[in-house]
Amino acid sequence: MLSLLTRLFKRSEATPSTAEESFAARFHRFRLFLSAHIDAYSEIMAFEERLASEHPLGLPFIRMTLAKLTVATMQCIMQLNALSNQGYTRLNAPFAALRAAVQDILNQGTCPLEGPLVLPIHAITQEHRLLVSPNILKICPIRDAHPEFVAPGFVVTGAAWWLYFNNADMHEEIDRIMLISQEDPGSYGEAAATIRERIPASFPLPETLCNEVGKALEPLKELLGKPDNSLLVRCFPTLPEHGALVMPEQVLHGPITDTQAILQSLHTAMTMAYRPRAMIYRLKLGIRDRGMPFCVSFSVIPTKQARGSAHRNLDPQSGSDLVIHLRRKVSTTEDPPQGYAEDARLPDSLHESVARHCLTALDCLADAPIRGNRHEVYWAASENHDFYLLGVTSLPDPHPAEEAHPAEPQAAAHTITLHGGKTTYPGSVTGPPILVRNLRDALAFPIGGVLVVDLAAPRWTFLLDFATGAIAREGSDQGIFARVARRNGRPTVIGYPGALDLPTRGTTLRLNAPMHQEARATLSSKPLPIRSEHTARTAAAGGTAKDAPEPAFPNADAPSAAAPISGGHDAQKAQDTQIGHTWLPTSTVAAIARELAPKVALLSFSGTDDPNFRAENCVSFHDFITYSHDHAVAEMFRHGTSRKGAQAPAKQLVCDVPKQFWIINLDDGFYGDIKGPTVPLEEIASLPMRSLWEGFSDKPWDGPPQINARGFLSVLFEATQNPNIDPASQSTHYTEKNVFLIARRFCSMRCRFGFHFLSLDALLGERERERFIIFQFKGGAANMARRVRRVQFVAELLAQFDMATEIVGDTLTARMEQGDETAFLSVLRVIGYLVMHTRQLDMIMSDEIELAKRRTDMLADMKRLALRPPLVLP
Amino acid sequence: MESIKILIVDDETDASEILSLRLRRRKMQTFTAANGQEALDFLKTTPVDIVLLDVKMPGMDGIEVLRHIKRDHKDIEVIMLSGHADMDVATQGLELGAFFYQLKPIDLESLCHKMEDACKQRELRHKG
Repeated sequence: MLSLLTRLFKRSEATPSTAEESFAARFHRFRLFLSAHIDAYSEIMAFEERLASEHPLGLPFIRMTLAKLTVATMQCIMQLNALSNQGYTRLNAPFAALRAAVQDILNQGTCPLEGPLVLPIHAITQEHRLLVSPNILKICPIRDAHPEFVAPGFVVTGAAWWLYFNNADMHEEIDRIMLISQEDPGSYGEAAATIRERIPASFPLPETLCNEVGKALEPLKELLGKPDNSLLVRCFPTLPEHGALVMPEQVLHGPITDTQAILQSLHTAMTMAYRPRAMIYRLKLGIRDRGMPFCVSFSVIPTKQARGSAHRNLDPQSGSDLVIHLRRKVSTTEDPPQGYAEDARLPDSLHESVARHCLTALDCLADAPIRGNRHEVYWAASENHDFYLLGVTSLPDPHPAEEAHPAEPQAAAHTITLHGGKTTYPGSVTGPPILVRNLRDALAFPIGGVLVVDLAAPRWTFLLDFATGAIAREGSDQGIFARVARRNGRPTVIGYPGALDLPTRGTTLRLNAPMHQEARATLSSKPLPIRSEHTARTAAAGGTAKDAPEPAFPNADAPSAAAPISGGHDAQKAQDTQIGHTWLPTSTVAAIARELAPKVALLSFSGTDDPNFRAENCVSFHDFITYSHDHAVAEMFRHGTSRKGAQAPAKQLVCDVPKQFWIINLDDGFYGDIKGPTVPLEEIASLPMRSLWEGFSDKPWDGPPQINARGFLSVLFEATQNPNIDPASQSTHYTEKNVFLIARRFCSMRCRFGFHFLSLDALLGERERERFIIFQFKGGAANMARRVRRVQFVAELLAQFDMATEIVGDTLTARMEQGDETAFLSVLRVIGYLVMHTRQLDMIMSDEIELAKRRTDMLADMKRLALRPPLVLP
Repeated sequence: MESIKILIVDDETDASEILSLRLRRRKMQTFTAANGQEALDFLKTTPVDIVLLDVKMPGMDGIEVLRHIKRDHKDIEVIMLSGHADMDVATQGLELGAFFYQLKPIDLESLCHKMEDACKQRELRHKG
């Protein structure tokens, strides 16, 4: 008690001198450095983890990580310069070069489009591919033969979309909203709504575009002025590979005399790119916002019309050439919703008229009845038999449908008949059944899964790009979902009441959907083709330049999946290499992330002894923070031990360990003002150092192990080869003093024990986020192979105490970050013990029996130490 | 930390009011300004310890305001707040003397730590 009171009294009595304040200011800078270092390291880890995970990566996340990493790394460099009187400004140029290279990569993957902003329907040609959706483009041959089939109108092209969306301010705003949503699918709906509200409010349509739309409306004025006409406004992706995305349409009812109302509908259509379904679709495809162009089609149609689609009959037994899917009976869009027109039929005469026109249109496309060139046409028809073609899609050749149910594939499998379900598209497919109820499920839907949904709704059509097939509890085979299933060639059953009861965990489902029998599902417990998290993480971890980094995503060389799965069997083959992924590993964003990975995480140096460990050779963020850390610590030690910086000179530690240690108090590391050249251990107020010391002094060292003849020869040989253990060399680790820099909650140690060099930095601040231990262990007297085996031995021991370890050459780096203080104190005791008891172990690294014994003994001691109650200092 | 004076500059007044309220709950003294000019006018008459400065503002943007503050009020520490993950703007801000560049959404705990660090730096500078 007396001792405690004396200490407390000493503390309160001590008034810091100017020299100590200078040290305190330096230490504060150093602490700011360490805080930035931890921030940077955390961002690198977050980036690596995200790359290794199966969660789709969005550009907002990548940009956010890179911005945070830039800030933290720049702060490391700035604090290093502040600690060294601007001694490291040579880092500035390579860091600027890295930022420029990163920015170049981040700018990739957009889809700039040039050309006419608005095209009247009659002016569209094949040259406008990319500017206009294939749905519209395919009308051209029909329009040329039968201009009367085509609804009057115009298309606002992909070039207009680019003109509007290629706006840095707009994307900053969108990114800002996305950052706030934290890329959480649960808040996507809200983020999407905010974006759709902000874009029109803050970013008006370009004047040139408004003028072009005005010109296109001129010839339509008379038609639009009639009360029985309407303007149908539809938004489509212009690239064929994005065709599974279906957007809601808008209908403006006549008479329409206000151009502003039309421009307003264009503005609304433009923002549909930020519907949640479109955003999730882009995430899964791995394309950025400006990589998915849209066009907006305006068609004048009768207000009272029937709508649907038609294609040639796949079924030779049907006796009918054409199948007509009726989406709406003759009605106006203002009429009450009809639900699904399952039983609806057009009046006979209108049906015949529509069928005749559809066949004529299909003939214009040289449509083949069974194989090759198949199409589905979308039409509108009025009561008086006016027929309008609204779009055309190509259909894949049908799967070889299994008309008879095959034998069950596995004994453990069981088969159920999907009573009540209607085969919308025939075929047999296999995959894990995955229930999708919301956007979160949609984001996690794996490529190759069988989509299970409650309702076959338009909002889920985009998942048909990733699914092998689909089962819906409700819906219509006349609806949009069924239409996209046909377009993508996905065997689909709609209307199976038990869909939601299908087991969706750990099972594989074989869907057999013949045209004329009830579909069946065979369920087995075959393992899902889900990738190993560990493998992925390892692949993303990178490494040194010497062991070149693995690509962050597996299957990087897989065939391009720009046209994901859709389009028949060839595309299906491309999909096989991507099964199980939740997004396309070959996508643009994945490529951007892969290209960025080495610039973020690669360490170009094998160690601080690497002759290339120079400022001008830093090419990654990891390089910069490693270089800065090494030199910031060196600056602190240099300042503490040099004559100039010795306002608070190093004091020799008085302790019971037979070794000389020098202590530099950075701030509040002593209990009060210590006079004289020495400091007793009891006067050290640094919790991390004292905890480390508990491990140092726990058990006396047994002395060097018995060296066998080979071990001894290895030591002799290495002593002649390794300059680091040459006492004549002036600049090696091993000629330096054993020094501790300390503060109340900080400790940095540089020590030589035997022939190996140790460093430890530990900060146990009150902020949990900033706590860390970095321990490095390197060198030794034996040859390289034995030194490497020793660091492996130490790494194995430390890994048992939750330290993350990394070995490069003969250097082990062990880290622990962010967590409970008690755990940190345990680990410090363990490290202290290891420091003392691994001396000269490299000599016995080839003696397995001796090694095993040491391992057992040491582990027992370390566990005992770890469990000791934490040290409490006054 | 309890006695420090903070000026929050953000054109989104709702956001600055909420942040102000949260900081006041931690016993900090806060002021708000809706644009750069208002902030610079305020600083002419009222000294503060820290300015929390939004980057994207109409008229004078955050970078320009930072330039003025660092020219006329060297002693004030500035923490930039931004919803825009822009590496170049962040770099520019730090080069011009911002203490930190904090991306939104703001983690209040982390922001308070940065403000604490900024105050300590200021205090040590005074002593030096």
